[in-house]
Amino acid sequence: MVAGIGATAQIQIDLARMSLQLTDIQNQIGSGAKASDLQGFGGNSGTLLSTQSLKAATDAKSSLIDQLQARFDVQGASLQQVASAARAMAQSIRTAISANDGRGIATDLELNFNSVVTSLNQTWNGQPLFAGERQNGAPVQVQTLQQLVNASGPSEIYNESARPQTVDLGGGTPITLAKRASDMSQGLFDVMKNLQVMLNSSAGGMGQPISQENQDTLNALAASLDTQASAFDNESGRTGQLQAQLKTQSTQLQAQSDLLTKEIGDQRDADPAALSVQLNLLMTQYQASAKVFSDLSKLSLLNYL
Amino acid sequence: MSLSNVLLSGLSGLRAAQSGISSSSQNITNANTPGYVRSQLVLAPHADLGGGGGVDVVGIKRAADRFLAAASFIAQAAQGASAARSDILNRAQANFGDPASSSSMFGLVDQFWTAASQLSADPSSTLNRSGAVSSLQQTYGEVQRVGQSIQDLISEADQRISDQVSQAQDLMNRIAQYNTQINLTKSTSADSTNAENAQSALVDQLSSLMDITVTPNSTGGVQVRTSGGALLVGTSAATISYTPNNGNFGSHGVIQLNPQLGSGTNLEPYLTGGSIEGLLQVRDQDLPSLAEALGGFAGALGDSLNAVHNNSASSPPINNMVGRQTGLLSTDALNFTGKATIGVVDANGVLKDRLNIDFDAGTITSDLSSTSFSFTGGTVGDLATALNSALGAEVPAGSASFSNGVLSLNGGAGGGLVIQQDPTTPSDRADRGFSHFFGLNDLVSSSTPMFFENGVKGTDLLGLNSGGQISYSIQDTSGRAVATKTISISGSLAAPTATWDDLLSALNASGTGLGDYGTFTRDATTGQISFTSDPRFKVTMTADTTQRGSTGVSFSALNGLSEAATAGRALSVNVNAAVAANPSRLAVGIPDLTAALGTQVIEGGDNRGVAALVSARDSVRSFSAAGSLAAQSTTLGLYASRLGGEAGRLAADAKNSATGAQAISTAANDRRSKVESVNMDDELVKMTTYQNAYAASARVIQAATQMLDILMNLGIQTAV
Repeated sequence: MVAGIGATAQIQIDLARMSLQLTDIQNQIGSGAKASDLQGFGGNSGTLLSTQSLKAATDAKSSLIDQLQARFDVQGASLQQVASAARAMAQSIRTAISANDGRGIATDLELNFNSVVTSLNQTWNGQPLFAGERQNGAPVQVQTLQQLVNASGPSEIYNESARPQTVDLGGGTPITLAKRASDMSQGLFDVMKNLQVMLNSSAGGMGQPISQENQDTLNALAASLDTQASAFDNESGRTGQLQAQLKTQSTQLQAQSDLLTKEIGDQRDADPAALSVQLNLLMTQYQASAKVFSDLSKLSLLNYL
Repeated sequence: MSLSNVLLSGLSGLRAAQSGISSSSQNITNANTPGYVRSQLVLAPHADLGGGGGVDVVGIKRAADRFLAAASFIAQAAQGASAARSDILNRAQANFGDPASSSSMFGLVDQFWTAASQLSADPSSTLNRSGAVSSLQQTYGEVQRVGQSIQDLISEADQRISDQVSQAQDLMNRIAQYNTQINLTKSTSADSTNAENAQSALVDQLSSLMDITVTPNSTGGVQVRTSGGALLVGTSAATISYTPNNGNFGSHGVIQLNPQLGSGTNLEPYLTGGSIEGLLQVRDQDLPSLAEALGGFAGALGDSLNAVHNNSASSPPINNMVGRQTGLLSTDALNFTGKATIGVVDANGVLKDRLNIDFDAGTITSDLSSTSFSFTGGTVGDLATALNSALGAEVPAGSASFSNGVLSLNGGAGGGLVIQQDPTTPSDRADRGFSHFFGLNDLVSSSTPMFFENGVKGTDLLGLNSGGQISYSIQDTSGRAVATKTISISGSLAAPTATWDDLLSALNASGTGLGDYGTFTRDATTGQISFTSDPRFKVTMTADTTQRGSTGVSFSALNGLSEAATAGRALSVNVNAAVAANPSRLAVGIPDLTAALGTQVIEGGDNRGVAALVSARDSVRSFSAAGSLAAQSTTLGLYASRLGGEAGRLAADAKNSATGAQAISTAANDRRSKVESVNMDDELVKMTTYQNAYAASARVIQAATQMLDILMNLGIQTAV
């Protein structure tokens, strides 16, 4: 039996090694992670970092889509409001014609004009929705029907950028967030302007009864208003389609993020079952080594001589 | 045999048993003394003429096994080297933080990309812009912290080398002193085991610092050499010395062997193990390569962002553009091809004029006035003059200047400037556009060149100030100093007509240059000068005092030929101070400069610049070899991951290596201790044996005495 320094040193080193392993297991159980630094993950660090980076990019895109969805909600409602105003105006005209009483047209026109202007100047998060890339000020500058009538051209009606606002979600083709106010409403404003001009020429308002000539003109304007309403319906539909597309994309991104989270977990998280087995094994080894060391220390010829 | 002989024989037995017990008691008391080698009694029969004469104690011998000791020294040296390396690399990788944490350096990079991505939804938001700029600042702040930590670890390794060299010197001195003592003891036939044991413990300590071989001297004591053959202890101790250098990127001297002899022999080639060798490896190879990889990442990230940022514009527009330090002189050739456009806008971003720069034709043409400004002289100064004239003709009048390597443009009070590449024939010098190369609208800046593709041609004027020197030291593959070479900027190289080709010739000259030890080459596309060492030599730049005019840029800084230039980028690169101070300078849009004059082209909601910034993460670009990372074409995102993977792999390999070496060392020491160390049971058995031998010898003496008594009594009775 060797009771010299070599034997005790070996057992001490073994015990120290097992202590370190126990500490490592304890850390893994405590933190739930296999390691807490690059060395612990070794060559897999690159894979872990790459996966985390991919997840961060996926989550960022998903978050951006969530923000855009909120914008599209407001945008869709605004477009619907414009379409409703145009339709309401057309309906008002047709009601007036059928009642052969045009006295209410002027009031309805003003109300619906204001509704259209308010809707087109709608903002989201402080940004005008339909001014393209321009952010300083409302896209529709005219506040009254008379200003609309007096405006010599689009530049006096609108304050908007040369390009619509787009967003690049990484697909290679930027998505147009919304058409500019002028692209959508020029026709509608032309109809409203014509109606106002007609009202102005009738000495401030349409009377009772309405002449046949005026009825024909009003019918044509009502038809144009329906067409304009349909255009806004279409734009609203495009916004809805975008929302649906983004929702699908968002769902896909969420699924991708979940997969990446799982992948990160596989790489990073400690396996409690394996740790438990390891822990038991090490504890047994540790106790056995300590017992052997203790027994060996007691075992001496001195006891027998 | 006479009874007297019997008595003397018994007496010698008593003495032998006493010596044996003495030896065993010495062994037992030193059972736990580190490095103690048990002693053994050596007995021989005492032979007198005609018969036996008892026992002689020939001596007391140490139970040392020199072959097991040699194996132990080798294992200890390997363990010392790998433990030192593992310790430092573990701390280096720890600086990068938990890879799973968002606060690690890599997590911060991801946060910047996320912040930039969020900016797309609302590019005019001051809060979002500040968030993106702040994220980038945090990223570079962390890169700088990690970079400085690596430099600190290099300094620490250097200091530890110095400390351990001193420690080794002390051990060598004491081993030599014991040699003298053992020689004297042995010459007087006294017991020298105590001195030998003490010496052995010192040798053991030395073996963990350096890999050594130990040869016993015939007259006692030992001769100690490194495994490479350098004599450390003979009749006296050799002198070794080292002076540390704690500065960042400082050149390190060598461990000198016997500097007092004037030869200045480098001990390092003779070291193949031990903690000193491990520290040398981590100081000279592992950490510098990690630092270079980090510097490469910092530079590549900055350069990629700048490439996009220089083609974008902020809202409101900026009217003052101060470029980066290019290291160029106004007399340098322009070396640009292609076209670029400077959009002159007012404070509201309305396009007032377009200045079309045609580098091939050497003209700047105003769309508004159709005036053309020529820079056909073809120098950087000519371009600056033409730009100054062109901008000066605008309303409000702007200006341009090129001074000390920096190009500056000013749009005048109330004016603004936007620069864009021509979509079909973009301007190009060393794969960078006009604004990007001069860094006129950089997002990320550095006090020293961030990239080394300088676009210089061989026939371009050299422009290095007279009196500068580039110094190199050359070592062979074993690390032995072979030569030192200094290329001075004097004579023809200092002449105003000297060219880069002239410098290349001087550098590559055989004899006066480094032509015998490697080759300097200039990349025809990028202009960057690189050096390829002859595999038989290691060439290290020790100093570079050259400078181009008043730029502060040296030959090595311009071409990335020194550690300070390459790895130093991790410490110097940061968010452009102008952008950091005013995040509204973040170029978030890409205006349409083809729009009709009078059109407002800069809009707050333009997020095209941000989208381009974000896409820079996933764009594949070429990365030059940087330290432990090989040259590769990949995305910024993957490159960052590979940097982290490399740091983790390096540290994990070192740890595994240290664990393995520790196991081997333990096994070797265990095997040695089984032979050399004290076995308590053996000693107790020996003591019992010696005790019995003592009793038996005493019994012999007693028997002989009784026999003598009988004889004596027999005589008395006869007389009676």
